[in-house]
Parts: sequence; structure tokens; C-alpha cells
Amino acid sequence: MMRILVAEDDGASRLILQAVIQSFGSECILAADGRDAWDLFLASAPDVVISDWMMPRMDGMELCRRIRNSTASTRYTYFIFLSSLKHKSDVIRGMEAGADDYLSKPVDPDDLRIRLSVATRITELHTRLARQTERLEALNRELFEEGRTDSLTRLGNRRRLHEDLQVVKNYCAVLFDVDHFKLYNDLHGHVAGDEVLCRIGAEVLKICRKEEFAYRYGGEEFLLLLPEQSIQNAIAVAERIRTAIQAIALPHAENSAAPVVTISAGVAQSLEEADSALYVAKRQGRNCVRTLNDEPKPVPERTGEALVG
Amino acid sequence: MKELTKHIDHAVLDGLRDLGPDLLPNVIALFLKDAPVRLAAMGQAIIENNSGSLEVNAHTLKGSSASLGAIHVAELCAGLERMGRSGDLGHAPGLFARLEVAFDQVRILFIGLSARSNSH
Repeated sequence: MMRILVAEDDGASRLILQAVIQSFGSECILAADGRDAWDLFLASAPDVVISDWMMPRMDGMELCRRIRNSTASTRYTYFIFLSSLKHKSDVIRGMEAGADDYLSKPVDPDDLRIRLSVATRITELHTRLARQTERLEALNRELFEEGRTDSLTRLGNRRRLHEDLQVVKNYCAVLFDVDHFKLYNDLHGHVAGDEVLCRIGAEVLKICRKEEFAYRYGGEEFLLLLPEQSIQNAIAVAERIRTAIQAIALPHAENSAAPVVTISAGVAQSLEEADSALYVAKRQGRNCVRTLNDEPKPVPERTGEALVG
Repeated sequence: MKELTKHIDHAVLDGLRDLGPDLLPNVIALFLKDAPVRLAAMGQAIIENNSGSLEVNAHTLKGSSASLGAIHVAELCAGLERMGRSGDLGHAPGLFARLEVAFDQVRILFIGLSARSNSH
């Protein structure tokens, strides 16, 4: 059943319209001017508004404009102008203000019935369109998230990192990777290697707080951005992660630091320095957390031996 | 009577009768109550040279008379509405006098119609 709001200042016309609309089995709400119609529109969310052109207090144009700009309802309201005005320019103005149709007075019941059946079709289309739009938007949000998430570990990927770095300026970075991961892969296969990365991702998500950002930085490299935090705090977080991963106790016989999977971590206030600090951790035996301060000075010449990995 | 009925579109009245037995007498009663108020306002507007008020009241009376099939009254109202919109009320008194006559005629007719439908 359709709910139809009639805005008409002339009582006789109003009475007739009500009788016609009720004869169709539709619900009819009556307003004597535009202002009343606007209030009733907000209160009753009608499917169709049939409005006179000229009315006291608020005319049909203004009513139409308000209804079109209204965000009160997500449903589409079909708007029919009602007027004895025969001027084409007025009809055009009305349609431009967002009206869907117009009827000339006095209203012919058969005419109105035809217009209302069109109104039903159009409002149903709008409803379907709104539902599809909603679904598309949800899908878009999902894709947006998916495009910024590493599918294996569910941490952020490089794209998310790149975007976050535009916003987060003051942070501590914890960069870590799996010790001798290549050897692990060679020995246990890539599926098992992926499983290790998954377990590490899960541990990181458990330890990270909401305002902290965790990413899979590269193959077996992970990164945490800790906004507005001191190096000491960042070291503590890195240490928690290192301990947690060692505690999973995934056997890794080829690891020089321990018989299980471990990580090395570098902590600094920039990505570049964190990378250098990670290198320090590798040099200093792996399965540890280091900053650039831990490096003995002067910096010794780096040799080509296999310190990385 | 023939002279009178030509001012009325009987198809419109028949259409209203089709919508139920009470509608036509109710609409006529409302019209006979409201129209004199509109007419008085229009007369006043012409005296005061208030074209805006003439336009609005003529517009409303045009709508209600048309919805009852009183086409001649509606046409005269349309003329006065146009004058009101243009702001030139020079010819309004003459047209208004014709409107008053036309309204009296449909009033007699409508009163007769109402009496007849009430006696049914």
C-alpha cells in the first residue's frame, strides 16, 4: 500500500484528492500548505508527494527542493506537481527543482491512477538502486581493506604503509625479520615457511595496541610503527615480540641463534635507521633487539659475508 | 436552467459521484463556505490594489471551482489571477463583477444539487 501525502491549500480539491487516493486503496495524508506538508513529510516518510504549486507559507517549489535535499530518509520520494498553471516554463522549473511528474487540475482519477502506477515502478527502482549502491559501497570498503592488507599475515602491506607514512610523522619503527629464514624454507619447504610467517603475524597482532601499525614489509620482514613513543618503549615492544615468537618454539635446526624460529629486530626513529639497527642485531648474533647505539664505534667496514638472513 | 448548466462540466460532477455518495455534497458544502471568503478577499484586494493577494485568492478559487467542474468561474478566476500576477489591475473590477455573477449562478445550481443528493 502506498502512502501519499497531499499538499493542497484548497479544501475542496483536497477532499476530492483524498477520495480518489482512498478509492485506490492507498493511504492519504493531508496538508493544507507547504509548511505542514514538510512537517508531515518528515514525520511520515510518504512514498509519493502530490503538491500544489501555489500555497501559503511555503510553495510547492520550495517543498520539492527541501524534499530533494532531505537526508531524513534513504528512500526515494516520488514528487508530483499539481497545478492549473498551463505555463510550460513553470512545469519545466518544477521538473528542474526535482519533481518527477505533474498533473493539471482538476485531477482526473484515471490520470492519477496511471501516474501512481508509474510512481510505484520508479520508487521500486530507486529502492533497488539504493540497495545495490549500499552493497557496492560495502564491497568497495572491503576491497579497499583487502588492497591494503597482506593476504598471508593479515597485517598491513606496503601500500598501507606508504599511505600511513603520509599521516604518521612522529614514531618509533621496529623492523624485524626471521633469522635464517631462507635456510628454513630450503629445509621445510615454502608452505611451512608461509606457516611461520602466519604465526608471527598472529603474535604481532596479539601484542600490538590499536594505535600501533603493523605491516609485512617484505618477504620475511615485518615492520611496526609506534606513534608518539619513546625508543625505550619501542625496544620493550620489540623485546615482547621476540620473546613471544621464540616461545612458540617452532623447530628450526639451521638457526645459529637457537634451535627454534627466532627474529632479529632493529629499533629507531626512522625506517632507514631501523634497517641499519636490524643489521646490527644480525651482526651481534641474531635473536636480539638492537638500536644504532648498540653498534660499537667506529663502524667497522661491512664485509661481503652472509650477515643478512 | 439550460443557461446555467452550460457553465458546469457535468462529467467532472459525475466523476465525483463515482467516488462515493458523500463526496459531492461534502465538497460542495466546503466550496460554498470557502468561495465567498475568497471572493471577499479578491474584492478587497482590487480596492486596495493588492495584486499579490488578488493572484493568490484567484488562484485558489480557480482550483476549487475547476475541481467541481465550474469551468466558467475557473476561467474568470484565471483571468484575475493573470492580472494579479502582471500587477495591472486596471481591468480587474469589470472581470470581478462578471465573476460574482457567474459564482451566484453556480451557487444556485450547487445548492440544488446538494438538496437533491441529500433527499436520496
